[in-house]
Amino acid sequence: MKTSTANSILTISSLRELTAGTAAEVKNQVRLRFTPGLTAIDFDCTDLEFLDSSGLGALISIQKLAHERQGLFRLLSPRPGIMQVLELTRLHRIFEIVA
Amino acid sequence: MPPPPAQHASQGSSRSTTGIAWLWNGPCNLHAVREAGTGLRSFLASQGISDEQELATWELLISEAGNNAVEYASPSATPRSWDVRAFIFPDKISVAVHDHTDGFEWPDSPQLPDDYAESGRGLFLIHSLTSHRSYLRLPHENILTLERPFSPPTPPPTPPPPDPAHSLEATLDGMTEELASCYESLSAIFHFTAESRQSSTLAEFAERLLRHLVTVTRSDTGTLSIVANSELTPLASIGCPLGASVSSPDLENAAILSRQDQWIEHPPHPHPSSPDSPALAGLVHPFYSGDELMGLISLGRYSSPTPLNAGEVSIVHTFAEFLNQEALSRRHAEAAIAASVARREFELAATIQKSLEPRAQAPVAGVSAAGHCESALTIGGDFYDIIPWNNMGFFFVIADVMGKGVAASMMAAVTRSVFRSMHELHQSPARAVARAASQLYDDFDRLEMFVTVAVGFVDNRSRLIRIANAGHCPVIVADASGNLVEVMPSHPPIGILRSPDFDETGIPITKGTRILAYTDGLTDPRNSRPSFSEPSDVSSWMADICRSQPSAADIREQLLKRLASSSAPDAPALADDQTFLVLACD
Repeated sequence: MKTSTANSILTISSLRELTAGTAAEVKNQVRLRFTPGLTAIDFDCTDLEFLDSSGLGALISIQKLAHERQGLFRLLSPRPGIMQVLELTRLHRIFEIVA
Repeated sequence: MPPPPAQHASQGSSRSTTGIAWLWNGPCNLHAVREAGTGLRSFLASQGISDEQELATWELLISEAGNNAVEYASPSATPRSWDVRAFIFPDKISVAVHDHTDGFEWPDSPQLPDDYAESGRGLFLIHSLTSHRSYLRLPHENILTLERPFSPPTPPPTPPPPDPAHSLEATLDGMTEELASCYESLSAIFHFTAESRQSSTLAEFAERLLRHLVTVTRSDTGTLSIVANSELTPLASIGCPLGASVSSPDLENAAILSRQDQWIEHPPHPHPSSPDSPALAGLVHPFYSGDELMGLISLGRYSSPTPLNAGEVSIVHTFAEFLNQEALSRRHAEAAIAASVARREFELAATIQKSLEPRAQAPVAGVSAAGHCESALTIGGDFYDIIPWNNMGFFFVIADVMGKGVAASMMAAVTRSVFRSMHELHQSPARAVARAASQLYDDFDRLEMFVTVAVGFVDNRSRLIRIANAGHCPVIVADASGNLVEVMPSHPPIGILRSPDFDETGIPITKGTRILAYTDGLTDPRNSRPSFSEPSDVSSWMADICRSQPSAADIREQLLKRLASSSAPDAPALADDQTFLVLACD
């Protein structure tokens, strides 16, 4: 996983799996890097190949973190398989998704 | 009975009459959960299931089922393995997840939690993504069974990955094939030998064997070309028109230039059996005799992209070597026949040339003549001619056409005919030579040849000899005392100038005058027989011998002895033709 900051936005990228095995660590890393002054989180899904229900929970947790600062949370470029999981669980309604 | 504890995952598959089974077993942790999910995905893909959505769904289902097993494992209990058993039936895929945890109560109808809940969606996903599911809690084991409808993919599933037993079997198959190819090669040699005897032409032989080669190498098409007259010439083809290319000219050129086999490799094309389409697989094999390219064999398969195996390539090489030897053998036989024909033609030409030599002439007006002509080869460019003239004496010609062999002999015959045809000029050698030079110039010039000629008219009634010399050796006229007159060449040979003028030398005849005209073979140092070192030696010899007043025939015999001519049994061959003519006036 890679993180970068620009224009008060924390961008998360290069993550291939977000599962029960990786969700806790991802949430922990995002909390550490979402430092004061940053107001939004972009989760770049370009490389995300697999997402399970625990990974969905991690995304909701990260979204809450952004909302706590009145910031935005966006999912960028999710693949069709990821979109299918989001739609099946109807979370596509609560995430801002940028294709 | 529960399975034994396992720290490492393992998996395997089997096939039965009712379906295909896959078993995975591993430790109860989240890392193993992912391994089980990707393992099931790979297994399904290996069975020909290529639908990405189907594969991703099963990966997600195993992940959710495994997560639950890990989540509900008792922290205090000894870690125990869990396993996944997948079955592919004709109409469905069924996966059973066995764990040894405390388990949980499976809700009848799982619902999505609150939108912002961070958990609780796993069972909903399992429920939504399966057509049937059941959860059985046993005292020491829980079994979650998941099913989805399944439509067999087309084309049929590929065989499972080879296990060690299959690998061993494959190795044995390869060894068997190798032995079979050796047998095929030996068989091919015997077959080729038999074919060779039955085929009258190389093309017929090649076509028979190419057909055999195409069959034993399981090819669909083949071509065979050999080098004839320095060009690669199509000799036989099977499955395509003669002259067509199984591969491409570029590939054939690459094979010839590299002197190595080139492999035909093409992607499948829409019309696999069309002769116009390139072969999917095959081989281009050039064969050589030393550094000389002898030919090219191309074999192709339209129906399969499988390349020729080592055994089949070996048969191709055996075939090529056999054809190579056959071609060389036939080439040598043809060369021997051609040489025999040429030798026969040569002998015939020599007979004709010999028949053109003057027959023994009776004396005319007290002048007798004798001559000799021996060619370095069977035929040559020297000749002499003597023609009686109205009881006055003889007209004579001696000539040496540049070069030896057939070309020189033909021009000698032409020159002889020209002189014979100008009967009215025989009394005037200079005019005769001038006319002959004019008539023959174009022919000699075109052939870049020339002929030296000495022409004379011996008129014993008026007691005068007239001689014209066009680039020829001196003509020696000796009297009975051994005094000599040498008529030297005063003009270039015939063929050098288009219309030259010639002078003639007039020499009175006295009793005992002897005349010797000869060609330069008598003084050629390359001849390995005793000869004269230079023209003055010939003149000295002539002066000596004429003092005894020999006849023309005597001089001829003496000169032949001096030259150790081919009449001697062990006389070595000449390097240059030897010809001379003797006239005696009494």
